[in-house]
Amino acid sequence: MDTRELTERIAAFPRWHYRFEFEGGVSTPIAKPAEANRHEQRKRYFFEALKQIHGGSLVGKRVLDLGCNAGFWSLQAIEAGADFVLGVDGRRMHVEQADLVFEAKRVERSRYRFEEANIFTHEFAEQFDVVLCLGLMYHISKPVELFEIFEGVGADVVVIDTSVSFAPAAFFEVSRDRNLDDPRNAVDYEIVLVPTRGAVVELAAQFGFKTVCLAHNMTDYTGMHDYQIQRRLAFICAKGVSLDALPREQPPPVTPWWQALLNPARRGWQRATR
Amino acid sequence: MARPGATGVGQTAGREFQLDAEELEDRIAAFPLWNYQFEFENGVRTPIADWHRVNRQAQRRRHFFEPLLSLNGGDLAGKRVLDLGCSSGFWALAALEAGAEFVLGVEASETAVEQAGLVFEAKGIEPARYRFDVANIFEYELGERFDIVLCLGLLNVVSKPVALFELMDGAQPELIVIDTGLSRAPTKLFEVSRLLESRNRVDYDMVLVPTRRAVIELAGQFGLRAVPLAQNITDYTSMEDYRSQQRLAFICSKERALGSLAAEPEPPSNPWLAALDRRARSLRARLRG
Repeated sequence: MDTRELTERIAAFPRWHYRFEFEGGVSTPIAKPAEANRHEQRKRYFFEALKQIHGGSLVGKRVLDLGCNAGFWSLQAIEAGADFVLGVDGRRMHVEQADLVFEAKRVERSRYRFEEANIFTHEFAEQFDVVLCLGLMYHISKPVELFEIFEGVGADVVVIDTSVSFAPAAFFEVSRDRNLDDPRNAVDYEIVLVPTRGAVVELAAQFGFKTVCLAHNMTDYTGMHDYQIQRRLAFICAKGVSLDALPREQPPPVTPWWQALLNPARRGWQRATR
Repeated sequence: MARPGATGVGQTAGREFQLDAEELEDRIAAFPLWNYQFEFENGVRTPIADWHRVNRQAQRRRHFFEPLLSLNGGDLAGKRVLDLGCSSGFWALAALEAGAEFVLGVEASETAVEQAGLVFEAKGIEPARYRFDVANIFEYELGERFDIVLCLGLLNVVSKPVALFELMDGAQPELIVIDTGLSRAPTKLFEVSRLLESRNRVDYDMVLVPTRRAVIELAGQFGLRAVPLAQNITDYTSMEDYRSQQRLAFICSKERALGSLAAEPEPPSNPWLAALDRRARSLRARLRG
């Protein structure tokens, strides 16, 4: 593919969420330049941690990227040595973008596949070592079914990067993605369940994963306000892979609102399920 | 429990009683545990460990079953009813006795379904009017339409609230009755909790317990309007969870007018006010009783 053809094919898409750079100085246009820093920092934050627990690379790993968007993280996985990546996204446009990116990057065809699918109705027939679940969990309403996918593909490591509720207890806040046409949002329901930090840990434990909430290591919070205010975090969940070396994020101070809500009737509020 | 004049009872009256009292007692005694008290002819009853639960079921009937009947003009004549998590068939039986044409009960516990089968046989209900399936509701293919869905004591013991609503929505019912344990947080959320009794386990020990507002919001996602029912309880014996607002029933519908239902006011979020309000309720209940 020559530079001109690539430029045209990139321009044919109405919107790019991630910035990709190709040979010949071609890159994908993103609306907010600050987002470029955001994704570099996210790479530092959770992708380096993922490589670290695997001894510095993903050589020999099969990776499943759920809600893969234009394949930015799938590409990171391939560049980190992964054998094979399957990217699944609910939107046709993202799958086409990812295919274009991988073609332009000249990744061997046998090392990747992108599929358009609703992950909750898709039959995952293959097994994977690592699942990437990045920017997905707070756009869905079926957290338990999400973990059933992780279990079904036999993953022993899952990276979850998600917005979280501030509440200092294990629960899911009911929220709404008002506009299902926004390509970042879910493909089934407007209603979404946003987990608290505790909820991610408990849910993972139900499926036999140990979980570390990764300590922030950002050098520049430009374009990362949600991370900066602790509204967004990444977790690594693992079975049989040691997470001891990973730095853990300290729990945030309990805000006065939650304090007022939780403390006075604490004993009564934490219910025993009948 | 039987409503005088309800069709189910009328039909059994003229028929020869199928089980004699002794055989029925033996078959009842073969089960180690009964959660509901059923009364049969000849004075035979199922033994329950806690007799306070008799009051509980009578009060729950007042709380959600009577409003269901009144919405339908006093009975369930001609209705097809789906009872999810039907246990030993107590509410399925109540529906039939209120005139329902057909009841399908789905329940994961084989023992509970055997109990339901015994109860319906002993009550002399025509087999064409009911069916009980042993199944995990999340793997269940419905394939039939129902007028009414009963979802009693189920929502708070599952970890997949959205999938549960998908199943109920698939039955295309006019009315859904949801009786559920609640988290008391005054906002829209599901509290991650764990089942204390594994007999209630549907799939995982981990369950998501909704707040009242979460139930309303989730129903809204499926185009259902949900009315939290006024408790209308006369005796809170064995009803502590309802009294403390940790359990409540809702009637939901897409098209039916629910304006005639008395709604339970939202509890004040200030715990002192809530405590005062509970005090006042129990006093009122005691005065009435």
